[in-house]
Amino acid sequence: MSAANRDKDVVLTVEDLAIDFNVARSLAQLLQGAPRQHLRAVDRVSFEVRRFETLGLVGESGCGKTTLGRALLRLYRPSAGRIDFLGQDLASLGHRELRALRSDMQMVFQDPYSSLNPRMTVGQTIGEVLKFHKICGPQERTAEVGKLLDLVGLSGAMAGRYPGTLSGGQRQRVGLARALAVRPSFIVMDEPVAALDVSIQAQILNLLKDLRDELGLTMLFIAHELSVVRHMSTRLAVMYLGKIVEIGEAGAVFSSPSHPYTQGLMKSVPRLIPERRHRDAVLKGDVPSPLNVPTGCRFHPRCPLAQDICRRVEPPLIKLGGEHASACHLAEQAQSSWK
Amino acid sequence: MPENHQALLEVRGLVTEFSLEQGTIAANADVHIRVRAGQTLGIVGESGSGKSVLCRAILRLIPSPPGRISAGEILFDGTDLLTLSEAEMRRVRGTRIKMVFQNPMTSLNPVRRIGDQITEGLSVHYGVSKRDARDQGVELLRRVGIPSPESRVREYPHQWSGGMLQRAVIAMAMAGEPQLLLADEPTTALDVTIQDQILALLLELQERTHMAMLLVSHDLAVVAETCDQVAVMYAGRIMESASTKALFDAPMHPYTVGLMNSIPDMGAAAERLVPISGQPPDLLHLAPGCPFAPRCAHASSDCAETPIALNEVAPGHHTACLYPERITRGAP
Repeated sequence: MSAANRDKDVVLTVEDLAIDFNVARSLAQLLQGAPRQHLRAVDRVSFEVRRFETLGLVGESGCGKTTLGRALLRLYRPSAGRIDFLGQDLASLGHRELRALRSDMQMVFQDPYSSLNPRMTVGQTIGEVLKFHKICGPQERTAEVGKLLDLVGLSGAMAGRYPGTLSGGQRQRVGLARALAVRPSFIVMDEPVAALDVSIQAQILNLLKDLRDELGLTMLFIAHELSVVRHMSTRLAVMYLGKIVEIGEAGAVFSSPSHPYTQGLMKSVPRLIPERRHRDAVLKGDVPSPLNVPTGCRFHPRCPLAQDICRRVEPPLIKLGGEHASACHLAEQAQSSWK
Repeated sequence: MPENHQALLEVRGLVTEFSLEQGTIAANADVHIRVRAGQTLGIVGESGSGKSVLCRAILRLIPSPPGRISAGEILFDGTDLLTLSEAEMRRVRGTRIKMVFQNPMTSLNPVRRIGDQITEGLSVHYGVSKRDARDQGVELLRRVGIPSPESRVREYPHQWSGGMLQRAVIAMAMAGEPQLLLADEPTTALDVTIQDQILALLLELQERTHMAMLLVSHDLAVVAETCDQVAVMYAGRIMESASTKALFDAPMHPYTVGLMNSIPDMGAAAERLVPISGQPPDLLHLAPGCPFAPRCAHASSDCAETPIALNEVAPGHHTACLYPERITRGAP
């Protein structure tokens, strides 16, 4: 950890991180000797996460936000770049060291149905983590499971139940209790409320806020829904096609977004205003395939402001002032024309 | 008044039951709705509220067994659809009432060309020749905003994005210009910028063809932006129905207020949300009265015991609550 990082109490530093996946070739392609293709899901991304903050990560499906979240826990091996967690380079760690590290970093998954083993009771699911990470001895395990369930607002009686008998909101609480069992300081939340109905979603969001304050958690909060991210985040990063296109203090990004993609995203969200809309869609077209990334700025084919330079030169992430940074050649123009 | 005051679709007292191993549940219990030509009725509710079942019941697509429509009338243009023969019903489904489902991928056959699928209905129900069908397929795709439709009609579903597929499904529904479109969570599987495109398309098509629309959604904001009337469903019942403006400006049911308070607002970082307490209803074990009573702050002992009918509390504004006067927005 550098001296500068220690000043800001940085928990996690990501530098030029890239994650590639191999693309499967068909038999015909193999016979024709087609070259192996790579899909770059995360493309040279840099950012940091500071202690006690919640960094929101927002973007549409396929933008790489889940891949990035998983990579931070070293569930994928980076193709390039560094991930520094509390001064250790994750890419260089072996199995044993990773295991130790994972008691400090955990993940909560989107789907509370597939992320719990249907043949294990809630108590067994949480108890297994306690056992594996040697959090407590076998005698204290039942009491510890009860404490964890209480922490996430479930009764101790839930320990004997199977996931199949729980509602979506209850399952997500169990997923949270399992993540908290190792007493992590850093949690990646991957769309933790996306699968829940709104009345239950609000309960879980309140719980997450309470736990964050109570336990002093640092979070990466991944979501596609802007209002949910706004509600949870202190800082915000917007991803598009593998890149962070805008990052800054959440209030600043929401009040004066500087990237045309962020602006389009914000304008696309329906609001609770009971008047029939008469406008056309804000952003036209689809997100391009990550196998065929546009030249220059990757957003230019959908960008209402695109100019010649945008087609030729890829804009770097540049600070606009303070913490707020944007990867747009026309960021200042875009920002001043907002609203 | 130029508009026909008669409702194009009127559902009265609809009860749709499903027999499960553990007992019988009413997925729709005494549902009443009305939609006029050129208008959109939004049906809003959480999972299990019966909103999708309602759509399927209107088209008589309830699998039987285990399901069955056990009471009520579905009046479409003056005819009770429940009295039609299967052949007559098939004709209604093919020409006058169409449906768009949540996941476009499951509405399309993966091994058939998109163009053929869009125009199949035209050949079956209107006897359109193959050549004409092809031309009309291209035209339909152009109308829903697919670029270079001449070449794309020959492509297969896996070659298209989710947003394009939903456009194709909408094109398929628009073939033959239906009088009523049932859209069941048409944008839920899509990203927000694509949702924006599809909603714009649906509204534009409606303005052009004057069709009636039933838009089912779990998202209050989607309904607020697109519908003329709204009905809020919970545990198979309509809890409140009103014009969109009246419902959002002055909701008259604690469940509606609870839903509104549960949603974080993008405009401000509120400190805490006000969730609806408790768990979603278990349709197998409902009290005879209001199904929302166990989660309601205003409930009295009467609420759980006696069935509560929809009452008109203001012109066109109906609520199934005994104490609508106790409700104020912001304090559930």
